[in-house]
Amino acid sequence: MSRNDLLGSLGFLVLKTLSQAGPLHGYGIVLHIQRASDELLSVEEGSLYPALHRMEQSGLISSEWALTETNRKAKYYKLTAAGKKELQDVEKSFEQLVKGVRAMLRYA
Amino acid sequence: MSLFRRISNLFSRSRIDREIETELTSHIEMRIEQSIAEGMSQEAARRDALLRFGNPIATKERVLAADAVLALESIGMDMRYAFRRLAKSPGFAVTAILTLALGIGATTAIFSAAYALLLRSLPFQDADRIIGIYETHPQIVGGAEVNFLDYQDWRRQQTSFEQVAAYSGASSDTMALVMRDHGEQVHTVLASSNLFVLLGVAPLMGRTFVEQDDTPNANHVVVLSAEAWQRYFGGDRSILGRSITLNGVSYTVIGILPPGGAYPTTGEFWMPLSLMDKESQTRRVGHTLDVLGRLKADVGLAEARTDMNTIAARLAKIYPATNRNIGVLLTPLREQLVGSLRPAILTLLGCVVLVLCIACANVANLLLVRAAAHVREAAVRQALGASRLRLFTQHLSETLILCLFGGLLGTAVAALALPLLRVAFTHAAGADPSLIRSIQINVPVLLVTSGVCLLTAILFGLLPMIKTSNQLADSLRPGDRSSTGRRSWSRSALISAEIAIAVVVLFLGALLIRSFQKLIRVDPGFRTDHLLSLEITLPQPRYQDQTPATNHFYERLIDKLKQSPGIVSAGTTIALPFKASHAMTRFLIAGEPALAPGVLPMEQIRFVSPDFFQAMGLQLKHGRGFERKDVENGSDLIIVNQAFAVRYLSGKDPLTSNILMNVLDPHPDKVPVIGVVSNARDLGVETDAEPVLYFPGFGLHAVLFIRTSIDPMSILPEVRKAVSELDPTQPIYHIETIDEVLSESLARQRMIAVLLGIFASLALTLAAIGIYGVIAYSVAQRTREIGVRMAIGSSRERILLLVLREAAAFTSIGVLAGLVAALAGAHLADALLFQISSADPFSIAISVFSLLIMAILAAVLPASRAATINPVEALRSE
Repeated sequence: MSRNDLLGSLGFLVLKTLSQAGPLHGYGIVLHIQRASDELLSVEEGSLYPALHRMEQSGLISSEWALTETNRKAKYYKLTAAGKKELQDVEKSFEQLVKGVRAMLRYA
Repeated sequence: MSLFRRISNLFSRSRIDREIETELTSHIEMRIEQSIAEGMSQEAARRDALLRFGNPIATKERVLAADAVLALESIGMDMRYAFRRLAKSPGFAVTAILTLALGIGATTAIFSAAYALLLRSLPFQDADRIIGIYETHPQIVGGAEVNFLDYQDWRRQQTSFEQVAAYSGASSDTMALVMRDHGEQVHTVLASSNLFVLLGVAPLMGRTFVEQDDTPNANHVVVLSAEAWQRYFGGDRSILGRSITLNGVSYTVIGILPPGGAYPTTGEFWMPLSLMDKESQTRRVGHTLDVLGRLKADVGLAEARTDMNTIAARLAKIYPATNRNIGVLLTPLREQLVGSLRPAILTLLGCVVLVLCIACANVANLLLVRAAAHVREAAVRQALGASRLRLFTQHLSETLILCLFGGLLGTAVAALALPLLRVAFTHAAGADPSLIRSIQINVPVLLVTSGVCLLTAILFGLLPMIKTSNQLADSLRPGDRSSTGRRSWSRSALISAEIAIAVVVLFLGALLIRSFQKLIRVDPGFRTDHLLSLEITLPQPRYQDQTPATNHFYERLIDKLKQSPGIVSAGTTIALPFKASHAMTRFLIAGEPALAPGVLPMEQIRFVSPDFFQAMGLQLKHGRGFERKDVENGSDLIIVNQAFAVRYLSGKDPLTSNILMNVLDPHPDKVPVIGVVSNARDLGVETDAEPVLYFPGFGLHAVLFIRTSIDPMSILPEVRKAVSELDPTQPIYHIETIDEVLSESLARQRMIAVLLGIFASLALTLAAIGIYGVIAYSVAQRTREIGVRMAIGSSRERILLLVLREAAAFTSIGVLAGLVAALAGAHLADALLFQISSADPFSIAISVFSLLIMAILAAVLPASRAATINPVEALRSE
């Protein structure tokens, strides 16, 4: 998988995570992705942040500072309206991709 | 926590930086906490957390890059870093900034002149559609003024122009304005009523002309320029509607023009064209009008030319005697205003851009050297996780700072140079004063300057980057400090190009300086020192051309002046020397046919007083001079100059020849030639003496020449006294020494020669700095090699040669390339050269030799340092 695709999937995972679990900080997102994918998917944790900032720049997510349960200052990200719409689009095209790939596999 | 502290130290104090730091830190802390909670030791938990997180520094950089706002922040950081690095090597920084400042400053100054004179739109509405329309004549080079009746016919018959307007406003058209206690000679322009409409000039106050003002029996009205309004009436608003007296006639002031608002901009008092003398309005002989046309929106210049040529051909058919050889010339207004300066400006601009190229090449060389010295540092930074882009932006920010300071300083240099440049251009006659005033550093000029700076920065930031990025990986290998310095082709190419350009600039400079030298060595035909000139215009109707009253005034004035001990002689003529003059007349040599059917010879004509030849210093070669009684009797006599005798009277005795004047009349006058005087380069030292016909007589307007035995300006009080004794309200004006007139007539050539001289020395200096830099760096790199060579027995002379050979290689390539380019391109400057070929061998020699000498000097210094290297120290230094 090329690097761009990986970033693309990372963005997809982040969007999906935020839509499932509500506002989360970066560490929370990492944990959620691991848990929800049955530890199948793991990200290099640091590389999450450039992706988060890029997505925030393009208006898919927004952020605010808040305290964690352990009273630590952390930046919480949540989906924006544009982010929700983007997620729907990506999900749709992803499903189509999966369908297409399945069809190909059956054909073979 | 030492790692975090180290990370924090790297972070700048900015808020956004702190936020990223907090976010990343809190992530790592949370991971550590959880791992400890799951039973890991603190140490293991931290290692695990960092492992999972990846490189925190690189991550932070990527977060920064992800964020547009933060990108600015990181540029700020790069800038601070670049500043620190530059501050560490002030020698490099100062050299680079000064080099750029000189290059950019010179370019900005010349470009602002080029912009004001050639590019910026003229201050008139749609000025590009305003066309000057002239008449042409086989004996006149270029276009000449237009006859009134021809203008009327053009105006009625043309179909290409929205408006055709005319004015009569030679700089000698003046009238005496009577003030309360004294008189002022003011510049008057007679203009057709639609001139202001054509130019799109609305009055500041009052109104401009309407159709009725420009009819024969209209009331006398006058419009003032804003400058004249301030100068003569102190900006008094109540002047509107009042009467003023010009040449004894009263005119009602109807309007004030906006500042600098009309053309010709020297006009002070504007009156309707119908006030022009009746003779000029009824004959197809005199040519005194300047005509402008505003092209219709859908008509091109070529169509308009066809249209006007058709009309001229028609007029030639109807009035063959006067119009047979009269054609039409159409020139856009801008051409008319600055056309004569264009070759000069373009040459200057070309040279200054070349100098800028040398400056840039120098800075690029410095940067290359510096980049080479910092290859290891860059490699270390890359190994530690800096991206190539990041290294590049850091490098670029250093270059940007250099260019920014170079640009600022350069603009300051230009701002200081502009007043001098304006003076130079003002004297370089030919351009309109309002255009000269508009030479300034303004937004478009600054935009171009900063564009040049940016381009320089990016190009030269990029070059060393590309050059060194390939070496990054190698540079960290142990023992990389090779003992033989690698030859850098890009540095050699740069320095060769620099030398080539310098040769071109030197060559052009040498050509124009030599050309100017030839010009000032020309013998104008008379002594220009101790000669004062001033102008007098006697008011009508008290005086008329060649009436006893006029003769009497001037004769008494000359007599009074001659009594003064400092004055040798005094005489009058009608035109200043060294200036183009259209005071010309048609004639025929009695007993000879016309040059061709219908083509009559046409030459310069001068009305002079009997003492004129003596005052000016022309020698009588044959026959006699004029006498007082010739003037008083109004006798028609001619004295010609030698050029006339050679061209028209060769093989004849001039003193028995007769010349037919008023040849267009049915009964021409037959005038005897009574003398021949020596030639003078009357129309400018560049042009050979033209044939001149001298007649005796005094006109209303006279140029008075006073030959003095003392400083000519010191006799001015006596001149004023003599004039005011004759008439206390009679003004004198345009007071100049002939030396000044001569010097002003050469101002353009002098300006070009001086500026190109400056550019040539700049080019030479910069090239020398460049050569020195390259050789010095090469010597520094090869210290060990030189040590080894000496250790195995090489003599100091051989070392010296080794280094000089390197310099000789790129210098000879550069000089050769420069010579080829110079010889190929120099003909572009042909228009500026006087009596010198654009392949002048002396100029070639001097430019090549001066560069070679500079190159040798610049190379010998570091080479001799190389030759004195102590081999023991050189080898120990690793």
